[in-house]
Amino acid sequence: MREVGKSFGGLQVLEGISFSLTEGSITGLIGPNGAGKSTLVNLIGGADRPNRGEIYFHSLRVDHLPVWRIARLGLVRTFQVTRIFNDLTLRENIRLAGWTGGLRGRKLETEVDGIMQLCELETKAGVPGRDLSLPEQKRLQLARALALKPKLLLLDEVMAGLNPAELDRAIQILRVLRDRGVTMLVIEHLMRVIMGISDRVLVLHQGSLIADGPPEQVVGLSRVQEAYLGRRYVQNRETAAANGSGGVSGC
Amino acid sequence: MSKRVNYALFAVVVLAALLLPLTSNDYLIQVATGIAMYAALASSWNLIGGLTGYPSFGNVAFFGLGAVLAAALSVNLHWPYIDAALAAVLGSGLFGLVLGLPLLRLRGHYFSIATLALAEATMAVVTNVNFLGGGQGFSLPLLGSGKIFYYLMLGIAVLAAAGTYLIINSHFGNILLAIKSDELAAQSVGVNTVLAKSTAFALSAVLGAMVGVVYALWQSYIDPPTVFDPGITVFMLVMTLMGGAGTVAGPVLGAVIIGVLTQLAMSFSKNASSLLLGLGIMAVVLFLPRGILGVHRPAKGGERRGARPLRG
Repeated sequence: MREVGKSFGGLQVLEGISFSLTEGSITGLIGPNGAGKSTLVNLIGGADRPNRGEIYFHSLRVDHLPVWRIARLGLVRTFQVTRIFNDLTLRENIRLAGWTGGLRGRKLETEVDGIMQLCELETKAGVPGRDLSLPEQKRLQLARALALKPKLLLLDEVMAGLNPAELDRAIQILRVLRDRGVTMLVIEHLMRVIMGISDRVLVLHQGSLIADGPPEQVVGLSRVQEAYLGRRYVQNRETAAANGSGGVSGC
Repeated sequence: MSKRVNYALFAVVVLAALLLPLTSNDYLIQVATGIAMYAALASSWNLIGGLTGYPSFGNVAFFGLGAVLAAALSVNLHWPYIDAALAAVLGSGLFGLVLGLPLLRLRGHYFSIATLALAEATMAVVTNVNFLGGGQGFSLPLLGSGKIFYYLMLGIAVLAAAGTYLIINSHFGNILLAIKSDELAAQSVGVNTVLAKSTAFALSAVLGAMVGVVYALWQSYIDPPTVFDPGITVFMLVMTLMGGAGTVAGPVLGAVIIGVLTQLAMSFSKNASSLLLGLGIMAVVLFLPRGILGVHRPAKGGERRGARPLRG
């Protein structure tokens, strides 16, 4: 991703965003509300077009391809607000993705079964999308994305609203996926999740990337703390630290 | 209902319909022909409006174009009617496919209004092109008894219902339902939604044109205001919504109910049928938002969709 920028009318939402993802890694994307995280996912997934800059997937430029073509390349996303097919059953939801992913016949059914098992959705196979609970819908979104055999998975807050037990299961699923070699960009507000699974963390603040590095290092940066907690809070803390109590260090 | 019950019901209805001409009551056959015609038209509307969720207000354009093209080719170029009919159906399907590409970029009310304009524009063009009959229309040779047209309309209606059944139970049907549920989500699982929607629109056009082709011969006289009457689209829409949009039997059921009720009302007064149609629309909207066949499905999720928070 090179120098990508996006504005809506006069509002500059993203500016000069450049980064690349390492294959097989999990990258966390964090930032306060309104930082531009979902916009970034929309740009990569093709739901929105950048005003400036270029987005590449492997060596192919994707920022002007239609959404469905990007999905078929293996660059698959989920949505922050769940978007499932209400009129289709859970199984049909997943099967549809598997079909466009190129699977047919028995292979398709086996794959769908495997994914339902991984996401612990087997018991709900015949339930229409509209009748699934929110956690089930969230897992279905993930399952549907997996049926496309993703190479890069963009997960936009797939864990928001889950209880701690559900959260642990979701994290478990992501670990399994990483072991299978799926690259992931995970947007999440829950620091526990981000710290637990990310190999690398990107921090977005007011449309710019302000930090990039291993999770432990990034949360220690004062500019990241400022973005979340406010400049004065961090300054006060640093003053306190300089006055002898030690511990927190600036950048 | 199980599959076997559905098949049996389908067989009984078709058999009863096939045996109806034994009554040799001309009035009855004429009414039944009209009902079969609307069952086919409503089924064609159901493909784009019911399954795909794109409420078209212009489907009469395909019906009218089918009728006019077939008449023009047979009267002006002296083609055998069967050839003219085939060309008219293909032409209308192509028309639907090509116009679907820009029109289906619009959603909801915008799509409805654009399709309404499409039908009116098609009528305006036909009225001003002499080859297509202009404002005069066409007289076609009278042909055979009413029974032939009854069987033809019935055949198209059965074809439309069977086609809808096959589509609903196919991968293509799932794609259309996915587009209706959430188009962006459908794209993000790799569905080429533009192609799928345009195909549905073209199939709808083909069925509509088939009915138009038979209608022209049945009436033996057609002119633009009759075959491009926007009221025909309204009938397709109301019948489908009343019976159950997105179902196989819904459009047929709606056509039978409204067809019979209109005939009954007509026997009192000519205007009574319009009044009845208006009341019917209101009743469907208020009490049966999912149609008669849609009531057994839980309405859950409908509210959730309305209350869905903004994305972003």
